[in-house]
Amino acid sequence: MRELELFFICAVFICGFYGVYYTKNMIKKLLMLGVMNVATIGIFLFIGSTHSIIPPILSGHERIINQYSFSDPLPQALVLTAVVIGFATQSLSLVFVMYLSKNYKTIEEDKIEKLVEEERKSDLEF
Amino acid sequence: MNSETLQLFIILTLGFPFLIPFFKKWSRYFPFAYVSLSLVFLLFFYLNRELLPIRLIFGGWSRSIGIEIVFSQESLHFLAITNLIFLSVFFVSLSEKKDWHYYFLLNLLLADITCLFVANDLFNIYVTLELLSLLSYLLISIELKNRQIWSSLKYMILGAIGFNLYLIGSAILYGETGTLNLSIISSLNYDNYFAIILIMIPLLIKSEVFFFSMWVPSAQTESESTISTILSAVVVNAGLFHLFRLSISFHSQMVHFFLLIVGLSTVFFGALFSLLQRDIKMILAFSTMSNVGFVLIFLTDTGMAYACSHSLYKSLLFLSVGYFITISGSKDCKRPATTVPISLYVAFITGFLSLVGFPFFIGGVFKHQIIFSYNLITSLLLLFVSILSIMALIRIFLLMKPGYRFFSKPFVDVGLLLLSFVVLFSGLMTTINRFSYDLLLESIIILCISFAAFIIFIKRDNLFYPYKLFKLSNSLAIYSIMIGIIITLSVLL
Repeated sequence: MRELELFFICAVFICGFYGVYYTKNMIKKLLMLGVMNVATIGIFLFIGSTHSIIPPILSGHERIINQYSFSDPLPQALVLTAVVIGFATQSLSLVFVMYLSKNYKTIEEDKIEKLVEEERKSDLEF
Repeated sequence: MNSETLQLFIILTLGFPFLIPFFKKWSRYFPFAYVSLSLVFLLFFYLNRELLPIRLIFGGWSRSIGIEIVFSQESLHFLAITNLIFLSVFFVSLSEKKDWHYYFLLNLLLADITCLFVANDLFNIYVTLELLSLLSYLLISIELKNRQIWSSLKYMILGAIGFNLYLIGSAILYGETGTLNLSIISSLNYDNYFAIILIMIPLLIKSEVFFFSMWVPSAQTESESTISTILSAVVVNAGLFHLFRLSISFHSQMVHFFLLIVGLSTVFFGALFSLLQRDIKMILAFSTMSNVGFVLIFLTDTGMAYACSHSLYKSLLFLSVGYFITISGSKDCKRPATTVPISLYVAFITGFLSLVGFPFFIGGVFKHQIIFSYNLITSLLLLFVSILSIMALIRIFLLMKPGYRFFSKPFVDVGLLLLSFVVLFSGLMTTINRFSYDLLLESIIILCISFAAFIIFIKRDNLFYPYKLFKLSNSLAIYSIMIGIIITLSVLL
């Protein structure tokens, strides 16, 4: 069962990477980046639930007899930070795409690249 | 006492930049107060250097799961150099009218770098590196020009993939060892090189290594000269510092071999591309790439010393070239020479001779050690490559003609001369014990060969920029090929 979970996580990651590489539309590219991020979070949850999937919440009267009877809280804490940072990166990149689409009137990668290169060449001439 | 001072240093460092939005009028002068405060703390640590490294764990957690910071001798050196570079960058920035956003972001970047150089666990490194990347994306595109935004976006997509790989690597490492603390991991003899290389990928992206950082030419060229100084002197150092830490923490032959191969190709391609550029800033950007390769080949204390000296003289070169572009009004190197003030000329010559590896200029001694560290073939290749990279710089050197005026803009002159003084002084200090006439003769011969080769081989027209190679889709393809090779090797071996 665990192998199947890992297989699905890897499949999602590869789909995300392929999407980032293959799509020329910048918005779709950023969405696929989000898919990759989800797979990464999945790996952290997978590592955290190695011994148990019971959430590590104590009611106050219990004593921890065996630390492996709960899922590991540390990867979850780490993943929270990773989610927030991923969100920041994605929103900033969306702002950049918005600016580019306003000025170049396109969000296709190839067209933007061509326009940028032409602009650079004409700017460089002495 | 010392750990409390370190605590105070970190807290002040992180808190100080957030005062700038409240005092927008004085935002130009805030960074100077910040750098002086930071230099005072560093002086204190230098005077108590026998107590280093200082270790500190926040929140009373155990060492394996808590956040630990370590202030070591290397952190002290790197922080001192970073602060000096920032000081001269702030001086140069005074000559232009800048918004408070600029100073806020730049100051926050310095604070973040300070935290990065003392971080000792993989997750802390991740958070500070991500913040560093976000700040660099914002700083590259600070003027909101289309080309700046596009290069920043390209950097961002490559960086985001790299950080996902980093997280996967550290998850695998945590699953196998139960800790992310570098000191504990180094005592465990951990050798799963697949995880280690995944962790190293964003560091390779930050430190401008060929195959992984195809964002370099566009981002370095389009950004302002002060920002490209920071990118190629400070951000590169941040990556190299942690690559060094990781490579000594993990005792894996495979990782060293991987870094050697990547380093050799970076040295070669960086020098080759720098020779073929028409844009002055692009020449310097590729030259940085080539020098980073030198450090990667020999990732030891000597390599780190070379990284420090490279960042000093490269920031001097970038600042003087940036000022030269404002004087002459063009980045094109296919044009007649321009008269420049003597202060600028002196600064450029200082940087240029350091790159050549002259004794009594910084970097020459360490470059010599790196070149002759392996077998004869590697030494010959590295000598050939250093001749190539000097030839590229000669192109810029011939564009400058010293004028009769010594000063032009007071703040720029102060910034440039301050940095030149630091380069000369530290060059003197490093060379004085290791000087030999062989070193002098070697550097003179290399310089003469480079000039001769430049005159013989370089015509003015054979310049091209392979922009298709650095397109986003092709960079992603190169990236995926590299990751594919790593995965295949880890399955096979």
